[in-house]
Parts: sequence; structure tokens; C-alpha cells
Amino acid sequence: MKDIDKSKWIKFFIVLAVILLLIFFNFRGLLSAPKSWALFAASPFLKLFQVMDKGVSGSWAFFLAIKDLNKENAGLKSENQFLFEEVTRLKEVARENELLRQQIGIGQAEQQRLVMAEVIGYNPTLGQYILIDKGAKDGITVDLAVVAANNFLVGRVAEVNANFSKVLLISDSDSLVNAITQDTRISGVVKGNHGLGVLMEMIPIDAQVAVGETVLTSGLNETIAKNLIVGRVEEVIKKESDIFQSATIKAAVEFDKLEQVFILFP
Amino acid sequence: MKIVFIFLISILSVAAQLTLMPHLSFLAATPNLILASVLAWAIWRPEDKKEWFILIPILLFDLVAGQPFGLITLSLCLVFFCLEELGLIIFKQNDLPAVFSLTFLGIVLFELFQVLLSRLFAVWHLMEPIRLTAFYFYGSLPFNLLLNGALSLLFLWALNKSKIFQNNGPLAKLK
Repeated sequence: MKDIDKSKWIKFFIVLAVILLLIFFNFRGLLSAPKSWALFAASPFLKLFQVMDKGVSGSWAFFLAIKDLNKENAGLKSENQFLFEEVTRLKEVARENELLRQQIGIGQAEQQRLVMAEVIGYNPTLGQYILIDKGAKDGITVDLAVVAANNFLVGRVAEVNANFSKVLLISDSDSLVNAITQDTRISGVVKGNHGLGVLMEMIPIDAQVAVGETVLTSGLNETIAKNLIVGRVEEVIKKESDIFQSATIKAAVEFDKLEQVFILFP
Repeated sequence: MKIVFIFLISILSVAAQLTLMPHLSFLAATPNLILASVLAWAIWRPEDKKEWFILIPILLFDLVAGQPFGLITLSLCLVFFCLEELGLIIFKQNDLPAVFSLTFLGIVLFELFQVLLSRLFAVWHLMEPIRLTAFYFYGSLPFNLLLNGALSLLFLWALNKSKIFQNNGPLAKLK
């Protein structure tokens, strides 16, 4: 019995030593190749499950949504009219802006370089991460901002491997992004709420934040550009005893439905 | 051939964990196939068990999705070892209460090891330490216990019923 226990302990310490060695190798960047092999082996199944998931959740979502279609349609029609008016107005503003730039002698605003990436996995356990199929080979580096279509902020690159990267979502509690409300220009810090949503914190208690207001990135984070859309203010949480108020934000992106993202280069 | 079979199952689990399982999340608790497999493998007591089989899905998952690499592997290996020892010392009888207790302890130990190891990893600037909030205790942990406990009991039941990994099972015929 004692011999069995002894051999078990020896096995345990050998395994422990191997894991510690692997952690050291990873720290020195020597595990990039095994990580790529592991992903290469898993990618056919990842793609297969993604297709299955899209099929099942697509039809399920359709059945769930069918009873609300009329209501949603009416809402979308009215929003469409509002957006049509807004787009027309903004086109005029853009033209005016262009003319003013020419008159003052400022060049055209710089076009940002983007790299498109496919979302290959989503890991909400121990942090909120997505895996994307672009890595160091495509010029991706840590901390670059990741957006969905229409400049909706998704998160930032947290780890880069040769052919894939991990993106920390803004819904993760460790993610901190400096933000500003679009109309009232109130600054705050956007952080995740344990994967349950997004919060804007550090808003001065006397500031008047309006529900429904759009929240944008303020550009104070070094690698996250200004004016990326974070979401809309859903609820303002204010306590008289606190010096700051906070707001729950409805993120512009549905993180578990992301298929493609763009990495923004500064 | 056996190793290929284990590798295939592991890859399928990792792929399912990264694509299908997030849709089953509830209040920040997500079913964890890898944790459930480790718990089931640790609690299961056949005559001859190859303990190292469990390292394959753990390492694969950590290589693909671990942030940082090592935290999940270390936590799960410690949980596996602790459960095996607890099974030998305290919960020898292998009845239903023992199985439930080991499952419960396994999940709690996994969460505990993650918190402790994250502090250790934070010292080397590999990650931010996990900060425990009130929500974690009343929201996340109970649902984690429920989801992963049910999943590991299901895996354990499947292991007992299928006989696939037993000495006289179909896998034994593979070299």
C-alpha cells in the first residue's frame, strides 16, 4: 500500500515538474509551435461545430422571434426613418467638414489600417475571450483594438501566437477602456461586469447621463482609437452616498454571435 | 491506436467547449467539459485506470484557450490528484453520497486553485489576479456547481455504463 502511494506521489511530482517546465517554455515564447499545432488539429472540428451551432441557433432564434416580428418591424421602420434623416444630415456635415479642411489647409483624415479575422472560438470561462484566426504572421501585436463591423468595439488583443490570437472582450472584468458619452461628453471607464454585461464607472456624481445615449471610446487608451462605439446607456445607477455614479451599457456587439472582427492598427 | 482515440475525443471536447458550450452559459457560469471530464475520470474507479489519459484534453485546451497557459493545467491536475487521494482516504465507499461529495469538492477546489494560482501568476505579471466579488459567491459559484456537477455526474454515469475504457471494453482491443 505504501509503495503504491509512493509511486503515485512520484508520478504527481513528475507531472508537476513537466507542467512547470511547460509554463517556463511558454514564458520564453517556446510554446508557439505546439499551440499552433493544437489549433490546427482542432480547427476542422471548431468549424464543424460553428456551422452546426449557426444552423441550430439560427432556427431556434427564428422560432423565438416570430411572435415579436410585427412589433420589431414597426420599431425598425421608425428607426429607419430616423436614421435616414440622420444620414442625410451627416452627409451635409461631412461635406462641410471637407470644405473647411480644404480652406484651413488640413489634409484628409487618416484612413486606419484594418485586418479582418474570423472568430474561431469563444471562451467565457476564466475571463471573456474570443479566439481569432490571425496572429503574429499577420502583424498582430498585443493591445491592438478589435472592432466588429461599423466600428463597434469588441475588445483588445491579449495574446498573440503565430497563427491565432486571443482577444479580451470589453465584457471581461479585467478590461478597462476610457470612454465618453456622445451628447453630454461625460468621461468614465468602461469595464466588464463578470461576463454579464458592460458598466461605465467613475462618472462624477453630479453629471447628468441620459439613458439611450451612445458611449464612445475617448482615445485615452494608447492603442484604442477615439470614437469607437461601445454601446448605449441602459440604466444609470446613482447613490447619494457615493462620489461616482455608474451606468449599465448595452454593448453594441453581441459577443457570442461574432463571426468576423477587424483588428485596428494605430 | 488507443492514444489516437483519446486524442480525437479530447479535440472534440475542446472544440465543443469553445463553440457550443458558451451558448449554455447562465449567470456567468458556463458548463466546462474539460473540468467535468477530469472530475469524472478522478472519481471513476475501475481496476486499471490510465491516469495520464486526462492530461491530453487538459493540455490541448490550455494550449488553445488558456490565458495564460498553465493556470488551467495546474489547477485541473491538482484537483485530479486531490480527488484521487480523497477517494482513497476519506470517501472509500464509492457510493452515491461519496460521489456527490467528491464532485462538489472537486468544483470548489478547482475554483480555489484558480484563485490561488492566479495570485501566483500575477506575481510574474502573467495575468491579473482573480478578484472575488459578492456576485461570485451568490451568482457564479452556485451555478457553476450545478452545471458542472451535473455534467461530471453524467460523464461518470456514461463511463460506468459504456465500459469503453474498462479492461474488457472495446478500447482494450486496440493496441
